[in-house]
Amino acid sequence: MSKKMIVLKSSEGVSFVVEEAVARQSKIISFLVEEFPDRELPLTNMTSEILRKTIEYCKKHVVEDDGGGDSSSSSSGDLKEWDVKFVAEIDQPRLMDLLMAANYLDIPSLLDVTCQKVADTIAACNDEKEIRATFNIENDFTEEEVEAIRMENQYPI
Amino acid sequence: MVDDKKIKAAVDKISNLPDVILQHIICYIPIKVAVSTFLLSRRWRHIWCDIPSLTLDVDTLIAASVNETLIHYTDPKTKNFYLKATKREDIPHIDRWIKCAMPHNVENLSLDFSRPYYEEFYI
Repeated sequence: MSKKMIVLKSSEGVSFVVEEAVARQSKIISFLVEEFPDRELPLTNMTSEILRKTIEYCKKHVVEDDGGGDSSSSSSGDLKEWDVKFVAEIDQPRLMDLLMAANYLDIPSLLDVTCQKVADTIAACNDEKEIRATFNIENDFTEEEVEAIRMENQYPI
Repeated sequence: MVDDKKIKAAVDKISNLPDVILQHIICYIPIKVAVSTFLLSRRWRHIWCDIPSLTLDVDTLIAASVNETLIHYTDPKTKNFYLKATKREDIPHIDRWIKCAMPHNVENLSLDFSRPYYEEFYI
């Protein structure tokens, strides 16, 4: 029996043909597929690269529900390991894009692993200066403000 | 001549995320580092104050840090509040710390005072 396929289109106009069960891990796509069956879905704020990565994640995480019984592809331990490797291989700017994609498409498990990876990166920094440098955050406080904030937050180290 | 805008550093994507996502991220960071994010920029100033899960492990903090954290923590509907305090000197503070959790309408309150009693007797 052939599986139902749907078409997702990236911001560059590249079409990705994906099994519906794979794409439905996104709650947004799941909703759109029901409302607009047989339509290709334009994802105008997702690049092909990030869409490809998102699909790769969803393919790995798709739950086989065709009654295969023992055919479940990965144990949860293996899957966790795979997730860690998956996000470890992505550089920081792309990780942020993937996190935004997970948020936009509403894929909770992908949002979790990407948030966890960003959190690990922040936690590995020695101080706020290093966090700013890592994520290109501009320090827009004036010196007076910093002084006032430090007075207000007497956080002992 | 150099155009400032052209050489502007890479984009700050993280600060453009919605508050709830930033808080989701911060929940995964030890509270000491989580609180320190208030120093990053104006955007980050109050983000940590509303994180939905608060983990206070007093074994890795000092009582004054816990007090300071609870003074500034403002989330009106906390999903998880975890307090671990196993040192004898924490005992006088524990009642107040639990009271501090109350206004946050905590969904799951976890308390860990699991130091074995026999250790206390021999101090």
